[in-house]
Amino acid sequence: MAASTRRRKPSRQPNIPMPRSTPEAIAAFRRKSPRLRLISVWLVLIAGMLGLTGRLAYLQLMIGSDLKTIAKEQQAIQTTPRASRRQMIDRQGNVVAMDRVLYTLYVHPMLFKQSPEEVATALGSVLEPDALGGDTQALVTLFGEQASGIKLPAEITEETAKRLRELRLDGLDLLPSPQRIYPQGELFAQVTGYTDLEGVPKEGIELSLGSQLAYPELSSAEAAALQLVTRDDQQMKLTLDSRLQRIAQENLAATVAEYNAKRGAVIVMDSRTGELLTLAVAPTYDPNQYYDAEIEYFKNWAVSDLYEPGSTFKPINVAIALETGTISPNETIYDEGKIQIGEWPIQNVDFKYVGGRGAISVTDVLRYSSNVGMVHIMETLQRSTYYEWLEKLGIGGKTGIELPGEVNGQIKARSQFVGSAVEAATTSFGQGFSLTPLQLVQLHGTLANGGNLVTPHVVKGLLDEQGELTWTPEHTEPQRVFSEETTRQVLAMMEEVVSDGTGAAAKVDGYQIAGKTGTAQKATEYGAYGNQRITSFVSIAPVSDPRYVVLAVVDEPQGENAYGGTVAAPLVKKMLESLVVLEGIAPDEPMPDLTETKPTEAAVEDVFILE
Amino acid sequence: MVFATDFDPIDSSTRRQAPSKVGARDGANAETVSPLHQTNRLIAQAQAKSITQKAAQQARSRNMVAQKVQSEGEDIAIAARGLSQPVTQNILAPLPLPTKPTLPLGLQILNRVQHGTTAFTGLLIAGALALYGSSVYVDKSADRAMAHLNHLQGESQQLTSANESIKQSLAEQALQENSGLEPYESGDVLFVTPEPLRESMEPEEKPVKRLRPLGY
Repeated sequence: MAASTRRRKPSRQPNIPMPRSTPEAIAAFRRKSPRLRLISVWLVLIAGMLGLTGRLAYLQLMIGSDLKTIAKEQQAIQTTPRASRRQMIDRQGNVVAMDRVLYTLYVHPMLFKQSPEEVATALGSVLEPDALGGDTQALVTLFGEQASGIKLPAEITEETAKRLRELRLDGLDLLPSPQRIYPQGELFAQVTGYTDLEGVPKEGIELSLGSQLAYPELSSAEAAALQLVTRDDQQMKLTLDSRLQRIAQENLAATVAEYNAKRGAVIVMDSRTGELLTLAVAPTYDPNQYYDAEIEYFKNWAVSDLYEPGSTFKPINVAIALETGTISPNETIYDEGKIQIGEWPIQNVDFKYVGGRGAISVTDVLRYSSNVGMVHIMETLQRSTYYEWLEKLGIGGKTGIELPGEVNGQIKARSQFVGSAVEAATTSFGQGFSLTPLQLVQLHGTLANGGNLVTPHVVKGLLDEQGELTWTPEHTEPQRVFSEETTRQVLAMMEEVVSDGTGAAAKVDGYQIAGKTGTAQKATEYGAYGNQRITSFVSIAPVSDPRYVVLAVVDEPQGENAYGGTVAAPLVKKMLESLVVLEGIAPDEPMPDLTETKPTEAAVEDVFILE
Repeated sequence: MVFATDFDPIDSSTRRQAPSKVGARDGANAETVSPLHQTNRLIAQAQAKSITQKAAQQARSRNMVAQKVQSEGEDIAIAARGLSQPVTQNILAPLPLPTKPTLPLGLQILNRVQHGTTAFTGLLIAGALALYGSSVYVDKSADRAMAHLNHLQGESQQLTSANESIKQSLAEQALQENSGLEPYESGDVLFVTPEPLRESMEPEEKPVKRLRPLGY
């Protein structure tokens, strides 16, 4: 160490004058020296803080609002112009209404890397000429008109959008937006309603249960995910059966066309729950092209229009009389064929041909649809009691179905009803008051389910991915109005109507079917009854285990032979034949000549496909 | 006073002095060596002796200083003072063993706190890095998953719409005459009523008939 010849490095210690003097001087030196440093550090920090504060104030106070708008533009994702909605499915899970992403193509010629001709040719190779609004040449001219933001008329599907993207062309902008489609076309139009091109629900469940169909509002954080079609797996399940609905819609349309009728409706209800399996209305429209439809077709007249039920109301009246005990099922009624109540003559439809039938049973009153017999049956009740019963059955009110535009029924004021004998007399054969076809189904539901007034409905609820209902529409509790015995007695009478009466056209081989025809004169706009009529047939099946109510109403069928038993009953028969197959209702008696009606292969195939 | 650092060993080394010794031995006249030279040499020898002693002494005290420095910086001053003290006393007096100085309680606590916070800071930094990394990763993978989900949903929606339109077109075809599809009729369903359970039959014990001869 000491042998080193190198010069020692000068000490690294700074040349601070060492305190050599008095202790006071040393203390003074020590006090002085760090203060300078402290102050300088402090100054630097303060300067930094002041700078930061100044910058912050500038950002926040001076240009804060501008920055905020810029940030919003960058962060916020443009919400789609049309909000997507949940799917609707039918009883079997077939999709009835769904959202599909469609793209709108915007072209910005200023961003083109290729010549407009090349772009136009490339587009023409993917899109149809009418989707482009012309051929390639027209497209090139279009590109020349505007530098950016040219909207092409094409509605581009996901698949086409993929092919467009694969072209890798600059200056094309695909803007996605959900569009509501109804795969079954017009089949469910009167139930689902439609949403217009802006995505606004207009009719049906789309309108009345819009809040359940719409997805919950997204927070801005979630919007980043940007799922256009489905945000959760919840679907709205309807009670309708698309197979039955299709059969009803097709046959109804055929009947309406055959009789040149104004309109028609077929309703099938499961009376135990109030679920509607079918709600077919004709004429109807295609919700995918609602803009081509006539406006009057948009409303579902089965819930929004009133009609006088006519003879289809007679079983209800009989049930009222039986329930109050003013008549017994085995009583005989004297049918004069024509009576005079006050100044009003009342006669049977067939009075001209048959005249008075004399003493007949209550069953025969229904079998022959005797108006005079019904007047005599209801005369046994006090008119005030009768009126209370009508109110109890909800006549003059609504059924409470989820569909929009349901109207209250009409019934005379209590004073008028009680004060005038003719009111009760006309009501006894179903005229002088009005209700919706749906309400008639509800009333007959009481006969089918043992006396409970259930709420007819078309929506089961919201179904989650596990198949569990997360939301169900609220319905009033079923209300008991008739005893089971009464309903059994009335059903037995109604069965006679079908097996050997005016409703014979609805007979289904092997099954006991209860039914009642109805042909009511329609009141003209001036209040008097005119030549037009409304024909209907209501049926309850099977009598052995009553469950389903089927109603067919055809309004203003033309022709001499247009009655409930000739127009509506065959329609109900077609419905019943399908219903017993689809619902697996066992026949009440062995099938006659089973070998002939053995299911053919075609029929089996039919079942398979439509399921 | 001569410090070890000022001592030039080359000057006082024996090799350097050797020629003069040789000269003295070989020289015919030893007397020719001046007395001044002799005294000088003696002084130098005495000096060299005391220097080596002191050097050893100093080396010892340096060791001690080093030990003390190792223990605490504060002791350096004491050690330095010890150095400057006359050495002769130290040679005889036994050296006090360095004792670990006890720090005041406040400093001890501060020391602990410092160690603790250092470790804590390390953990925090590691945690922050991990968190940052994971946040980037989670974000990326969530983005990817979301894109995948979107894609799948788009596909499922396409499939559904295709499926439903096929059903619709089939139903429309069924409407046409001669489509081979016919509407339902009430006799289309066969209801099979299950037979009442038959009594379980005991398998009869059949006498085994032996074939003879069984083999040849």
